[in-house]
Amino acid sequence: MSEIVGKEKVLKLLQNMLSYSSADQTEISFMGGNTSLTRFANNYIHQNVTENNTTVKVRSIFGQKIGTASSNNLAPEALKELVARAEELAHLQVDDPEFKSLPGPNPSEITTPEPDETTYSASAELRANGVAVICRKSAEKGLTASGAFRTGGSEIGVVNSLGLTAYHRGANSDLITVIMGESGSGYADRLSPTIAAINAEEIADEAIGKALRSQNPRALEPGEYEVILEEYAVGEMLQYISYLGMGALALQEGRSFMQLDRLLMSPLITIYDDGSDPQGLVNPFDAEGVARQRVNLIEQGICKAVVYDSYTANREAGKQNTGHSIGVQGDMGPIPLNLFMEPGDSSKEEMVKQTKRGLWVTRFHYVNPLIPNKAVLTGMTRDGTFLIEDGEIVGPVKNFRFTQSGVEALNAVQSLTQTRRLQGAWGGGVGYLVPALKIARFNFNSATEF
Amino acid sequence: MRDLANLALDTARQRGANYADIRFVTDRGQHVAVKNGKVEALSSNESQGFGVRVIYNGAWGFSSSSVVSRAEVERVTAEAVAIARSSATVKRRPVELGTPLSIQDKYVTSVKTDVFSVPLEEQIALLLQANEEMRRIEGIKLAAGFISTLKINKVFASTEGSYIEQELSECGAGIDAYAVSEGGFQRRSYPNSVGGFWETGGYELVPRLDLVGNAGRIAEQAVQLLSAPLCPTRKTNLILDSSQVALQVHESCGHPVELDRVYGMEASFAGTSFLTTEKLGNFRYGSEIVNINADATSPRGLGTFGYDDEGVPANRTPIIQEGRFVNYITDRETAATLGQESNGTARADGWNRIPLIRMTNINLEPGKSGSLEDLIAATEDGIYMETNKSWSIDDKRLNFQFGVEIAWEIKDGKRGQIYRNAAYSGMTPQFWGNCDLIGGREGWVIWGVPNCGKGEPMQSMHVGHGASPARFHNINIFGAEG
Repeated sequence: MSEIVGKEKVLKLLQNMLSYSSADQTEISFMGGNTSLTRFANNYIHQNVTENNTTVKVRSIFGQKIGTASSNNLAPEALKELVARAEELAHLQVDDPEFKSLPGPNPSEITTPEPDETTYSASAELRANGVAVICRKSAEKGLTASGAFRTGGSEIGVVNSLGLTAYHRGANSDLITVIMGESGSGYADRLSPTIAAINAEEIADEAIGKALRSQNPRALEPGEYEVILEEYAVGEMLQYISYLGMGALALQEGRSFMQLDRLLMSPLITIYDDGSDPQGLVNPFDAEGVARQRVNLIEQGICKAVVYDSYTANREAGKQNTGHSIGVQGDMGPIPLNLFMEPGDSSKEEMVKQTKRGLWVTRFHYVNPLIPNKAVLTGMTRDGTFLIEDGEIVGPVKNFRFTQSGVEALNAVQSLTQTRRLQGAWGGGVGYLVPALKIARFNFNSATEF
Repeated sequence: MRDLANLALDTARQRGANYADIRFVTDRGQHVAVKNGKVEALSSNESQGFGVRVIYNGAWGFSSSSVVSRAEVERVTAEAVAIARSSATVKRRPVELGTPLSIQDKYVTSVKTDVFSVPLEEQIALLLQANEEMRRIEGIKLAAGFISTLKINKVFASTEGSYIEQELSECGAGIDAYAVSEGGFQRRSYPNSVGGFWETGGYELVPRLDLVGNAGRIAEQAVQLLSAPLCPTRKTNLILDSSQVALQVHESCGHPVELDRVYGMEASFAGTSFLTTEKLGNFRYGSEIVNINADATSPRGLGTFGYDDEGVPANRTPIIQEGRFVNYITDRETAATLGQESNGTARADGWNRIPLIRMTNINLEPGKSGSLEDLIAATEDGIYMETNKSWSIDDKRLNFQFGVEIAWEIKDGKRGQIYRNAAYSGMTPQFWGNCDLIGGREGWVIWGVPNCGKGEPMQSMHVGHGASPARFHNINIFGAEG
């Protein structure tokens, strides 16, 4: 495991680089850390990897001309060359009349708790121990386990020539598993800032139980069904809805479903983004080093706000930068990464009892937008889809393809669970805290063979 | 570099590894992007590092670092062995790699114009000109375009005696026009959506694409789509342009023939495959006109290279012959399990990732039915769909659904009205079984897919697909409405 660079060294490195700059404004960011991942399939470890990487990125601005350059070569001469390269690119640029300025310093220093060091530097043995539990329990039931146990942490620092400085070190871990039988499969995952909270026994039991209940599924006609979406499915759907519509650039370019102050979702739905809430994974500032503000996106079904970075905030009169830059301009613009959906007062058991005829959906697979400006998504169900009749789960069914507006689905929510689960998004490093949902109508337009 | 490679391999041996390889990789890229008359991104990226892969006690371990030094090579190699030792505690059977390989060679992508030799000012001017052409069309709210260039230098060395150096050059470009109305949003892309057009080679790609000459046409189509009727729902003859055929091959043939998926090694993430091993050699995958090859030697293909990341020479392997499934794409480990030798498809997304089975150029060979216009002329009733907008397929690669940017009704062998939000769906073997016309060499293009995702941690791979336009009968089509 490589050494942690540490706040003092990171900020000194970035300030040194800043001193090489001759641009009107300069931003320098640092992304370091390590990721280790133990992957298993067929009840054994088949891939086991670790990575140490540190990347530095320079954004140089002359007037309204911007150039960026990045590298992971931290040799002193290479860092000087990197600054020069960003400046050279900026000189080749044409003016961007909508660029006003890099962000200024945060009102106060951003302080966050130290990460869990066991998680940050977890050994391969620790991960293998968790994997061994799942593989053993799976094999005992005549099932086949696959999955991944990831541990690691990141160090992020940003400085700019206007006096902004920001530094954060965080850690997290997740363990996912798909347990397969002859004709059906089950799934479970857990994500946490501390590896100690990842209980491999619990994950194994949940996925194995679901796999056993998923055997011999029956074919069912596609169509519109009442659904109970487990937290896994809710998190996946929310990821797509949020990037398609909850950022300022999407709204400014006319490709967002968000209509501010309009009721578009059920009054039961409240969604906000908060990078500082320790119930999620803490990400206290954005790619420009700006402290993330809590933004209430949906309040009781009403669209209230979208998130901004410095560029999109400067394009609209009266808008504040909310600290949601993802570091690159492009199609996406700023997006919320630390989402929370307020819980309800129900439980999954009560949801089942209240369902006349519907489907229990564990998770989705290969979701993609079909009509982006209306958040119409398509994807498959996977790893545990069950028919509910007259308030009881009656058995597994073969998987369906859905084609459904995520916004309309959230408009048809009938109840939410009181408990919530932290679901990973964007491949790890960020998480959403979401409940399970009962939805009155969800459109499944075809089925598959398993 | 050879000294550092030897240091890693010696360290691995001393620590008890049965096998080790090391890859040094340097990626250098430039990206120019414009949007609505301004340069949105002008960036230069460089990433360097090395990864060491070992087999210890029959199990894999891998470690990597961006710091290229003797001390770090020793540390990372020791760490890879330690990780493999942990892997061995949850092991099934020892990893076998088949016949040892010892190759010393160099490979360089053939280029006419070096990817970094064209001034960025020239690239910016070209993109701004195309942008202006698109924005000249009334109704266009957004116009975008990009040019990306990339050079990858790799050194591979193994304890079996291989030492291979490669320099790969890639270039990509594309433009998009977006039309927006009250409640409506339509995009047209050229030459392709979702990352544009990519190939291995030099900057010579960019002038060949004629971005400026195509800008006005796609912008007009984007505006026309806003008021076009929704694609009807019915079963009909479906003609796909070669770019959509390429993506169809990618999702419904390229992925299911990856042998690691078949063996369940990707089950928890990307999924498995319906093409299980008992089907090898005797499964009817498509109609008799369907011939698909995995060809890492195709000129300009984005999946073209000299050697894969296990040091296996690039080659051409038949996958589907006259509609029959005849081969998987493999790496050394999975091929050995099947009693074969690797057909050279193991590639890693950079120094910090392990090689996985990845598509090379999975090519649908040209048919005998002429050009796209010949296919349309041969169709009494049907629909023609062009340029992908949305894609999704189940975790065994059977049930798929694709949306496209634009479609035309076909009546009596001629294009009729345009439809918006067209989509089609099907099941893989039935769909390819319904393939009744494939266009000829004149419409055959190798499309690059620069964003094929697989693995954990995620790896994004650059792969290619040669395809001509093709026709499929009795296909479910529909219009997707919000």
